[in-house]
Amino acid sequence: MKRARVMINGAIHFGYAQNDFTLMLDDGRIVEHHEVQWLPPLVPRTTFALGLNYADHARELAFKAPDEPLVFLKPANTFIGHRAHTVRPADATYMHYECELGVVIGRRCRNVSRDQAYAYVAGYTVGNDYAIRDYLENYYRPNLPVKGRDTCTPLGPWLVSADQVPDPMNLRLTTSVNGVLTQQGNTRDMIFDIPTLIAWLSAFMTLEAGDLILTGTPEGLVDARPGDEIVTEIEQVGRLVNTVVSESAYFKVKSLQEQA
Amino acid sequence: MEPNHAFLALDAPSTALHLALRNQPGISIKVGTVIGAALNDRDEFARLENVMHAKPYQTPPLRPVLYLKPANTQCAHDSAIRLDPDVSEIAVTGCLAIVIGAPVARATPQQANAAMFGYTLAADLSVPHTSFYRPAIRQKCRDDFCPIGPWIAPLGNEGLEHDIELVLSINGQELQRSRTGNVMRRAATLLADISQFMTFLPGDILLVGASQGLGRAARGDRIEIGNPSLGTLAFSLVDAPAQAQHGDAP
Repeated sequence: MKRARVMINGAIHFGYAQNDFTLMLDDGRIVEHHEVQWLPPLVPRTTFALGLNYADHARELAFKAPDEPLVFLKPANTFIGHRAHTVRPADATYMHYECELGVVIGRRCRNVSRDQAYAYVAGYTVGNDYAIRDYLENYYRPNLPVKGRDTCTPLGPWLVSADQVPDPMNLRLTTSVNGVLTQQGNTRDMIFDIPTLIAWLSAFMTLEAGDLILTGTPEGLVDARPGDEIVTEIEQVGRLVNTVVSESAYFKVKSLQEQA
Repeated sequence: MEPNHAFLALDAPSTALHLALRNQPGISIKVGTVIGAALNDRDEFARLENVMHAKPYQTPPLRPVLYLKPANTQCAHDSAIRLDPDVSEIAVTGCLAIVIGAPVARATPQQANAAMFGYTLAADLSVPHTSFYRPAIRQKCRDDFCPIGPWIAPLGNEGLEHDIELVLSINGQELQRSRTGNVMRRAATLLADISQFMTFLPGDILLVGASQGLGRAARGDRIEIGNPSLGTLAFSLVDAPAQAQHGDAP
C-alpha cells in the first residue's frame, strides 16, 4: 500500500496510489496527482537523521566514517510535502539536498535486537534532508540552523507499507537537478543499516509509532539554486519532487517584522 | 479496502504531555517542540571559553547552541524516572520553561516577548558528558529525561520576568542556586534568533537553563527545582524494571 496525505476541495484525505497518475481518496474519489496538494505522508513524532552514514559521502565531506551512528534530531517545523517549495536563505552560498530513505516506526518498542527490528517498521518514505552549510558550527554539529529550518525537509510523496519493500537494504537512490543526474547510491552501502539503527536507538530510548529515521545520504552533493527542480528518488518507495525558491520569492508578503 | 496493520498505530498516535494552567486545572496545553539552549549561562561560557578556541570547536559559537528534548523525554511533575543499568548518575540542569502562546517567526525580540504565554519549570537531564561537538542524543534523549511542570503560570501584564532564581535541591538539600538573568542571550532575544529559521507554535517550549550539569543525582534521589512564584517541580530516580520491554503485542 502506498498512502499519501493530500488536500483537495478544502479537506485533508488519505490518498492511495493506484499508479503513477491517479490516487484513490479515502472517500472513494479517483483524482489525478496534479489535482491535489501533497502533505507530508505523516506528521512525524520524533525524527532522527543520520550524518555520514554512507562511507563515500563521509569521504566527500572529508570525514572518516564514524564508530557509532551520528544521530541528530529534526524539529516539527521543517517538514513539507511532495511538489512543495524549499527556501534558500538569501545569504547562503552552499545549500545541498540529501536524498534519504525514511524509515517509519509502526509501534512502540524498546531494547529491540537487530533480528527483531523490522517487525517494528510500518513503512518507508523518501526524505530530502536539505542542509545550509554556511551555518555549520562545531557545536551539536550538524546544528539546527543547518538542518532544522522551515521548509527544508520535503517528505513523500507517500508512505509505502513495509510489505511492499522486501529488501530495504538494497534500493537504488538517485537525485537529479533540473533533469540531470547528480547523486546516485544504494542503501546497501549504509554504514549502520536499518536494523542496527533501530537496535542502537531503542537501546537507550523508547521508539513510538510515528517516529521517523532518515538514514543518511550517499555522495553527490551539488549547490541547489533558486528555480532548481530537485528530484530525490528511491526505487520501490517513490519520487519526491521539490523546487528551491529564493527568500524574496517565498516571502512575497511582507513579514510581520517589516510591517511593524 | 482492508486495514493495513502496519499503519494502525500510526493513525492512533500516543498521547503527548499536557500541562495545566495554574489555578485553572480545567485548561491544559499540549506540549509541542521543546528546545533548549546550551552554553547560554555567562559563568559557564566564561569557564569554557578557552576550550572553545581549541579543537574540535576552533571558535566560540556565533549562534545559539540548540538541542531538542523529544517526545519520549517529556514527562510530568512527580514522575518516577527509571534509569537504565548503564547509567549510574545523571546531570541535572534546572531550567525555566517558557511556553509559547502564539506563532513566532522571523520575529524581533519585542515580538518574541509578546508571543510568550507563560512559564513553568523543567529539568534538562543528561548522562554526564563534556563534549558539545556532536548532538548528545544518547546522553540527553533518554525516556523521561525532561520533566516539566508542575503547572503553567500565565505571564502578567508586565511580561516575562528576566531574572528568576531557581533552586535545585536533592533529597531536601540545596545544591545550586542560579539566576536566569545571568545569560548570554535573554529569552526574548533567544526566541527571536531561533525564529529566524524556525516557526514556533502555541505549546512549544523554550528552555532557558542554568549552567549545565553541575547537579548530580543517582538512583533513589528525589530532586526538586523550585521558585517561589512558579512552585516546585519534583521527580525521583528509580531502577529500570529488570524485564526489558520489547514492544506492544502485535
